[in-house]
Amino acid sequence: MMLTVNDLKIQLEGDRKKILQGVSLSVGAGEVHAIMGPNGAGKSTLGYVLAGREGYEVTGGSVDFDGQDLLEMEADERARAGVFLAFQYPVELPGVNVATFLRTALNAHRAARGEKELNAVEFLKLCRREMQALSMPEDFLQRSVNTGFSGGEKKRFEVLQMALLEPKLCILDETDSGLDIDALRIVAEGVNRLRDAGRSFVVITHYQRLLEYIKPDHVHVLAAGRVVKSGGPELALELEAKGYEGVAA
Amino acid sequence: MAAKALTVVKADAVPWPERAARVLGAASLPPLPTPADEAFHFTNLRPISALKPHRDSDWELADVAAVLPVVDGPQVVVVNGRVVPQLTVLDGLKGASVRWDGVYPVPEVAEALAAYHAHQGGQVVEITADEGEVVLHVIQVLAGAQVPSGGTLKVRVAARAKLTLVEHLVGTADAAGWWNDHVALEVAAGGVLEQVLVQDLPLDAVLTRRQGGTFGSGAAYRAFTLQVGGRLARVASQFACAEEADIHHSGLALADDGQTHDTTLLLRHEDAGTASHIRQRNILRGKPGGKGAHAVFQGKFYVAQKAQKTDAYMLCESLLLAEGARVSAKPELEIYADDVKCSHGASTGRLQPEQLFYLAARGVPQAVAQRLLVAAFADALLDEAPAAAHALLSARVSRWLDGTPTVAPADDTVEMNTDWLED
Repeated sequence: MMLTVNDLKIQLEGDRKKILQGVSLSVGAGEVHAIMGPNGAGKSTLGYVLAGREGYEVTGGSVDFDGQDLLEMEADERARAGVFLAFQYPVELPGVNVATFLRTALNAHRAARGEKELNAVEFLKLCRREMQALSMPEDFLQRSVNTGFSGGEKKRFEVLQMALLEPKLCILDETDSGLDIDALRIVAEGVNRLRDAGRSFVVITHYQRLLEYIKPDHVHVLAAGRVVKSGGPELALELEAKGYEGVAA
Repeated sequence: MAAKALTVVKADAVPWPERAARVLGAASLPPLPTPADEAFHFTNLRPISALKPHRDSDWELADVAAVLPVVDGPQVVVVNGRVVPQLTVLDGLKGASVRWDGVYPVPEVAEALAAYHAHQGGQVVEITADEGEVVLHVIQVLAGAQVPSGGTLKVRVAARAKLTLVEHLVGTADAAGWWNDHVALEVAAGGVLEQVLVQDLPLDAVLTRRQGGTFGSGAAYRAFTLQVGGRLARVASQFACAEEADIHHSGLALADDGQTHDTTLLLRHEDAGTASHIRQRNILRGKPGGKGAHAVFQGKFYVAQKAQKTDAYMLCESLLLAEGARVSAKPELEIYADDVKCSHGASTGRLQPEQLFYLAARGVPQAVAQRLLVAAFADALLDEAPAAAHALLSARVSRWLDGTPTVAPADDTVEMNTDWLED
């Protein structure tokens, strides 16, 4: 298994609000799992906790990632080990230009793998190829990270990072939000290009729409901090027809 | 109430001004300003009274040579307020002149520190730019045991001239010091002055500088001050601008544990149509359990009644990277004209956890992520520096950033070479 989440219980630090109340999930190598559910179900929290964001307290359960205890690792270690979270709301870094940011991240990964760091020429060559595939103009590299980006640009940039960093596990948090149909297609194609036997996806979404472009192997319904139903791609269509209450009941 | 009649007066309890007056040969010297004086409310000059007043300016050429920055082109080297002709290079200086042929009487200034300055024996170095574009470096060196030391820099820019003055303030390893100097700027109508100060004194030195400036009609002044060194470093400026003068003053203070950097500015808008933009950024570092770093920013706009259409803003932004770091910001407006645009703002914050998490989620180790964000904060201001000094300022900031990390990296942090971040 690429990822095994076992009875994971999470509460917020501070007010101790319980968010996840025993989530279990097994994602095999090469599989695409969709996590669907209503607002406040804990979908984004699951993504953040897997990526290692601070502010959450693990009160029970475990997470195994490719044979490692994920919860024992810092966020940057998890990323270098191959976990990638595509943010629902990518963070602005004013003054940090895209090229510097990408090269820093890429070289951190390469250093962790014991590989030589890329020089400017090697980096640009690699970067241009991926940017063309995502229909991104070259002057994008000189902009400040996520600063003044449109919704579509932000999501495309998340996919660009994913393509460059070559993670083993990609967690897409509401990647379809804020996208028009054309942007959605470009982003989905970018994701689909990355699908292979060694890479797994956890796709968090409200709507079935994204799953028309990124076909899942398994669909899970998360409600009130628990997985209340799991099934194949047909479950997403059922949700669309009956709504969360109809399916979760 | 018990009377304090029995207090024993020790021999070494002679007040500092009196000891300094004896050493400097002055009849008397006023007490040093204290936080009870409004202008020094946030900046305590107590470190000066821990120094021993000393008159003789003895220094070794090797010590001075060891700390001289390497710069291209014409340069004046001043040690303890006196020009060193054998280190000064004026070949290739066109359209400008430099002279230092005497100790000039210092104009009477109300501030107490100016009284000390008058007895320090420093020279007046006069720099006059007459025509064309001129770039000149002035390297000021604090050396040996002299306390206080420092001279006067008198800068004049004529109507058709543009002077870029890059000043380096450094000190020898054995410098005891207190650098107490005066700068007088005079830019004629239509003239352009770019003034860059790289304050890179030893970490236990004290700096008190007073700058005065007058800018004629349509004159332009672009100043960039980088403060890195000194235990206590204060640059207090008072500028007056005539009709349509245009002032840009940017300051970047990089303070570590135990350092205080003070930027005090009074801008007098005396006539119509002047513009001024003041931007200060402070980055304060420290270590757990340390004394903390302190940045002081006092900025004031005075707008005279006839200075209509004044367009003035000042902004002070500070980044606190450690516990105990603090900022004292005091922006002030005194406006007598009714058709003006004047604003000020101040913000103080830390690195945003969301930004650090975003970088961590891309595999960037914490120390590298912090450096990236702090460099971005500094770079935004460096973009405003005069082009002739951009590279040297940028290099100095990078060296500071590569110094003591804010948070010690964890043992298992991936080692990364970040040199390429500079290109």
